[in-house]
Amino acid sequence: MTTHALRWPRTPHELVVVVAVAWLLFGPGVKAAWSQMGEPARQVTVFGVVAVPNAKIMDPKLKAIAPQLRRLLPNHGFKLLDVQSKRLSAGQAVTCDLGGGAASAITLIRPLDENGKVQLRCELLQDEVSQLATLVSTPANQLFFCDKTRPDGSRILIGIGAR
Amino acid sequence: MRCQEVIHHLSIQPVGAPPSALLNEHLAGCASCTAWAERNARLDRLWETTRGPELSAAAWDRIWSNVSESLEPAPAPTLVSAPPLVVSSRSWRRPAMAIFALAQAAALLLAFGLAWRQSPSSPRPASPVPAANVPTATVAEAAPTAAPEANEIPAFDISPDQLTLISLDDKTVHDLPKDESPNEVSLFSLPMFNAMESLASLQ
Repeated sequence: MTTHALRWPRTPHELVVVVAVAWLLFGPGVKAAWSQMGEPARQVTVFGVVAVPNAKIMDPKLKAIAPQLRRLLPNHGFKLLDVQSKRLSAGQAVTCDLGGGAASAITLIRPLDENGKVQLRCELLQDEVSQLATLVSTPANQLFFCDKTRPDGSRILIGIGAR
Repeated sequence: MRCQEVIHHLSIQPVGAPPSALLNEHLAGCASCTAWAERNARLDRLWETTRGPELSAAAWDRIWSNVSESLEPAPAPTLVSAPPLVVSSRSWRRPAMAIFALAQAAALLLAFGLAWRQSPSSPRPASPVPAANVPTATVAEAAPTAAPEANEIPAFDISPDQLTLISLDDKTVHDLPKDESPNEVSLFSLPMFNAMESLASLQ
């Protein structure tokens, strides 16, 4: 029986083989694949709308979704505050400016939970300080809404979705 | 007519054909179906302007005969007529096979890893919950927070067939009333989702 001892490559051909193997195992493509494996991402969209009761105002930017907004909050006028959409990995957040120092921060907690849903943490901030937070498990490609009444009677409507 | 039936009729009717009176009646009162019909018409127009020329029957015959020929088994190689192979004293077969095997092993490892990670049943540790003080940057890395806070946060599980409004005033969930359409949630949510995502990309 013959035994082959490991030895350092001595010819250019052998060296090319060693470099090729190293590239296959540790090359940038493999590194990127491993990176993707550990961090699946979601496109998270959040928008904030102020809804004023007994008003007929409709922000032109919201014209395309006016029927849905009217169904969500009938007899309200609507004005867009901010809309943001970002590709997030777990632990990252997208923030939507609601004006007056208020903001809504949506953090991707789990891109895919055991029920096949996306887990998000929805947080309302005032001057960068958290006022309240909720954890939401939502199906992908489906918007859900949060609303909060303001002291002047108007309401902040926040639409959130992940795909 | 219900929304699903309207979309079905719009999908199967020939390009350029005017919608029937019944469809028109529904479209006049349904914003989501109207938007769908407009998108469908835009897609039809785009297809009409960009599609390639129709192939003739003779051209199809040539293509299929080429396909048939390529599927037929190749004749067995004649070993006698083949020229003798010149094999170098240092054969390349072994290192080439080693590279191939290693590449296959790496690909299998990645495939198994991806499948395990993306499987809904695979247990994954929950990512750190962000601290109360999230920076206002558009995309911010969340910082870890104390565990007791996570227990106090109300949690909501949204059903795939329900339009949900969470009231942050009293932390209750209100399911919006639905009509009889089975695709209502999609018809309501998807156009809105797409519109807002487009708007975000424009800003």
